Amino acid sequence: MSKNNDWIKGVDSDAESFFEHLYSEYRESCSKWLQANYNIRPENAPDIFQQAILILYDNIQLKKVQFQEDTKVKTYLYGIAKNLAMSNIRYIKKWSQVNEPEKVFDVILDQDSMVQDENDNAKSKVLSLNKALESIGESCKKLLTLFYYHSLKMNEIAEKLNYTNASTAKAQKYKCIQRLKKLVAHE
Amino acid sequence: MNDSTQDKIDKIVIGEIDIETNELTEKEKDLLKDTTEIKEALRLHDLMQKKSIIDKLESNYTINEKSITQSSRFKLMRGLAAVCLLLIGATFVFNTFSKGFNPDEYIIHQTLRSTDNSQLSNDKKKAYNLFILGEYDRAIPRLEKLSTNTTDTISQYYLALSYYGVGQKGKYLSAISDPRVNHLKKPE
Repeated sequence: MSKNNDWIKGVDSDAESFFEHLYSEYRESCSKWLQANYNIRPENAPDIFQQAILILYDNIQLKKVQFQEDTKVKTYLYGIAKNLAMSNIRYIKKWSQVNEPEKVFDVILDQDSMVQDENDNAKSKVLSLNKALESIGESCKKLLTLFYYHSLKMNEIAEKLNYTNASTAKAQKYKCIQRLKKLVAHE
Repeated sequence: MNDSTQDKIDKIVIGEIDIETNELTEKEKDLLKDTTEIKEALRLHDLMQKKSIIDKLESNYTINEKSITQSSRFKLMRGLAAVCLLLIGATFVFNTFSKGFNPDEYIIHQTLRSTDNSQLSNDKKKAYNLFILGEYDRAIPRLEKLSTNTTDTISQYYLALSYYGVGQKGKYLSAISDPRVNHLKKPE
């Protein structure tokens, strides 16, 4: 097994290769492992694997975990898969057919979401904002995602998205937020 | 709202600074709530996009799996035989001991026991899982202990393979020649 973890470092710039690597290395073995150790039916094991790699990606973005070598990725990934397998409620069967953001919210975000509200308003607000993101334009979406989710600095974002400098990127970020809020308000 | 307030809230949301909410003004609290919701919406949006990449990979994987099992089984077997011959030949030329060793090909405990996992003791479960995860250094002491039971074939087999995994050739050869396991599949 390769100890080279370049594929993890490239997660932001080339997510497709990141997931391809996980698929080629672990799709088969992780599914077999789940069947052998946790009595998971063969048709459900891939569902757990797919949800586990999405959670792995999310945890990397949220800086909950950092890896030095491939073997640790395997241990961490199998740990997520084990947790999903052991809580029958949390993983969703026929995951590939799930297209509703609400279900993805329930599986991935709900457990540790920073959004806390006494009623369910926060969740519906997030879902409205998510819908509005479809209309704010690719460049705004990229800028905001890089800043708030991938935690990049303004100067890094400016370089990546070809803005003159960090101040221009920051001003653009403000405009994008206002545009997003306006869209939600008019929904 | 001024720029420095938004900067402060942004730093809290992206985890750069940690401030108790009771230290914030009411206006800052509202802004924190709004900004957190935006962050979660962006997170959800990004995850939905990544999910579609995964869905495609799964769909391709399933198609490939079917085409391999249905139409190319014979070709695959012939190909595998050729590769095995090449590998056997190559081992005489190169010292490739334990390189690229994949424990998944040697897992036998799910086939040698019933589907009831409760039959495995916790010690065995831990040792076997460490072996499967490729953490041979941690698996070896546990397996050495388990394999002292002369009826425990699986532990002896995984012990031999763990020695192989860490490149301890002498110990591997000695462990794999044990009568309990010398008939089982060996890494070539």
